[in-house]
Amino acid sequence: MYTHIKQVQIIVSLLKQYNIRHLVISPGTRHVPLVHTVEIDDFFTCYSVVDERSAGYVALGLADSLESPVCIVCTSATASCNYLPALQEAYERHIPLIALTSDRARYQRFHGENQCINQVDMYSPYCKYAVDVPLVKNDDDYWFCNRSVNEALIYQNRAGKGPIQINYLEPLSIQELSTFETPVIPVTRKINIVDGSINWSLYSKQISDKKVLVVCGQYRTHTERLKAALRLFNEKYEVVITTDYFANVNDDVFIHTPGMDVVLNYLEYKELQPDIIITYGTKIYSGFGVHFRNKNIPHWYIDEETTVYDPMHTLQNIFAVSPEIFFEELAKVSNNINYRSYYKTWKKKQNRINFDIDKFTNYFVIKAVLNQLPENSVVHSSVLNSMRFTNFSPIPNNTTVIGNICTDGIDGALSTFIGHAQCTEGIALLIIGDLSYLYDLNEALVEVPANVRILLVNNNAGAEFHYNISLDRIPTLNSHIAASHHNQFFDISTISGLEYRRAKNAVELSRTMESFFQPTDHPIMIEAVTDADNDGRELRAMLDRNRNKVSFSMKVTDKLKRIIKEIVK
Amino acid sequence: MNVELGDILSSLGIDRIVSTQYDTDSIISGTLFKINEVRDARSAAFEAFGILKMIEKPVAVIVDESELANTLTAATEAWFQRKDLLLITVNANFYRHFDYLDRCIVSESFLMEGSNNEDIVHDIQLRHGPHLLRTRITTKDEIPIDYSEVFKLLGSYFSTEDVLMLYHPTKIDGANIKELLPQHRYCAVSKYIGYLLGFKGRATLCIPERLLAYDSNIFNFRNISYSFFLVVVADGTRIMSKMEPWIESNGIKVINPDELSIIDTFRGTKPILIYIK
Repeated sequence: MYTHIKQVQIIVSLLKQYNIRHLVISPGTRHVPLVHTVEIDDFFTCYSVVDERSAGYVALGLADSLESPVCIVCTSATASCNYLPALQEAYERHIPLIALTSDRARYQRFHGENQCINQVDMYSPYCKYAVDVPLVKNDDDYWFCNRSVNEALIYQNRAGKGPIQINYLEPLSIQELSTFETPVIPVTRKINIVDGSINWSLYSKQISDKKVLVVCGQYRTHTERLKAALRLFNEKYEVVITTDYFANVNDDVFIHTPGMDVVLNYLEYKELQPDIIITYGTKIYSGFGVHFRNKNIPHWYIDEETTVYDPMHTLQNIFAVSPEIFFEELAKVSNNINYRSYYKTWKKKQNRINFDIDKFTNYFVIKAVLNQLPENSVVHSSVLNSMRFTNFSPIPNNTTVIGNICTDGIDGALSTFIGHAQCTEGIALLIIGDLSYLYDLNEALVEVPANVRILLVNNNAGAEFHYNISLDRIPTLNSHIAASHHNQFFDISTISGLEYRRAKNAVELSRTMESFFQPTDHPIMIEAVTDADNDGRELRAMLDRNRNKVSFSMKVTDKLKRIIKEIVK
Repeated sequence: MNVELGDILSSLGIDRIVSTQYDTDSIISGTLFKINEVRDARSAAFEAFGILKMIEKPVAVIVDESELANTLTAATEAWFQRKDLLLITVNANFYRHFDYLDRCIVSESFLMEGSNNEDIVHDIQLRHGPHLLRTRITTKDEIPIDYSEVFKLLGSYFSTEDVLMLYHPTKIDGANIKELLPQHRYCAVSKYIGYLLGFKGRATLCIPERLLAYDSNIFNFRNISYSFFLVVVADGTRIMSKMEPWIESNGIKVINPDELSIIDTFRGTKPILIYIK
């Protein structure tokens, strides 16, 4: 019988699935659940070496001759320190050792707990990747543990082999450590790497006759080949391709989702639920991933560097190819066609969304300016409302849109934008709020190219906080949270020698927009002045207008449907 | 100019550089590379990142190692986006390790006598993400500033109890003088404003105008004390002329040397900036 301790079960199950059979074990208490579980399992071959330093070197020799990973397993504290010399050598010789270091009582670390040192990432820099696994007490812990161990075993092979560390917590009670009553170790999820010469027909079969959702993430700036590949793929499977502007693959046959993710109710989400989700890129701006989290929908991620990216918690395959190749190849091997029934469901939901605006707000201003944007422009959206409203506004399909969306930082937008502007002949438009512009003001001192256009929405505060919190909830909001100020940007525009225009209402705005995008020999700024609290209120109201209430009868029908489904099963 | 660095950048296919340095020409040749100069390393790193996003090739940013901390934020964004932003430091101190960058760089290399250029290029090409290349390339030390003209002009406005904060002065005498070192040039005005908040007496800050390029946005701070008395010395960078309207719009009185007599009118009732050309 095996241990019931979940994190150990996950490690053991994954060692098997990665075909890692050899363990060099040193004596002790803390790792007893792991040791006893592997020593009674025929799959594994175990060796006993007392001195961990020698154990590390034995494993090094073994891994060298087998040309496959070998585990070293020890109890907590100084035991783990003795692995360091062998790990250093393994790192320098590119030999795949796996240090499985057991750990204890994290909160008591440095406060009197026996045999308890800081083991987290303790072999750096002689370790390719280190993970620190908690006690598994709930589903989140379970996912985190599974993901971490997968990550370590995948990254062991990334850009050359080498040693990794899996530090895992064990319970304190000796009773629990030495209890073995589980007849079978449950199989946990292995995240597969699909690389080499890929059998595309096999994967094509897995998604044929399925509702496939492709969520395009932030990837490259120039994506002509990718767009063509996505279009081909879109013809061959029952697929919906969703985008936001930061993915830079705008096309009328794809579904533009920002805003939709916020207003749909759970029943509508259910209608849209796919059988499989395919993503690529470093960050997905839309919030759909979160809504399909833990829904048991397999997720395929495409990344040449095999980065583990698991927002839905259901990552199944990582394809180690570029998204261009992925979609081209899958399109090539399929003779199916997209009957668009799944697409129509999405389109219906998209069509019912109405983000028109007639009041003079930050959104009104951004939409009005983007409405006149010429073809082939570059837009940089700073953060929060700038990003949101850019995505709520129609723009020409050949616009390039960039934002620092991975960290979502307020800093650096002006600098990043000036970088873009230097590299394009066409119009470069910055959409930015007052706080963000002031934040990066030092960049205003550089030479600003003539193709620069800046739409500065000045609501004299961080309007985001007037949207998500509002003065109703915190009357002192403007003091520190939204950091209000009284600055007008005429005096700021002179720092960079910008032509300055100002608009306090819709009439003034349309006047300032006259010939705004005409080529000139100097850069231009429009400062649009809006009221932060009103901006927040109007945005909340607009989103609310677009929300379908879930009525009592709808809830009951849904419940009944589920019950009938269960019975039929 | 450093030939090795040029070779490494060429091998990496880099032709765009953003530099915070005043003497970038002594580090790398502007005829081989297109170089932008941006003083604030945070902005410089972001600008390089912005260029990178458009040309979809690696871009280098050259900073002094003492200001490397300012690149952390852009490096983090580039790490998440897995983009090859190459952070190059000059005046490196190889005995110091930048643990804080470990989470957002994918390689660290050292350019020094005897280092193998091919190895450096290989390490940088291994994975996508920000890279750190530290070099022993040295730049000229900043020339200390002689503030004697300032004292001649303004001496009568300082009393012996006043604290004088001087950026990189030639010589220091006087009990209440605090020296601001070149490696601590960032946000000098911010530090001074903070100092005033906790100080009962009078304090004056003297800086060359180029330091404003590291600290332009602090002037709209709500709690600038009326005892604020900032002396900005012209240094040919002409930054003050760009900044003056912005500074004044925040209620700070800018006084030129030909109108020193009005200092007494405003002192204690308004923050004062004296611009000495």
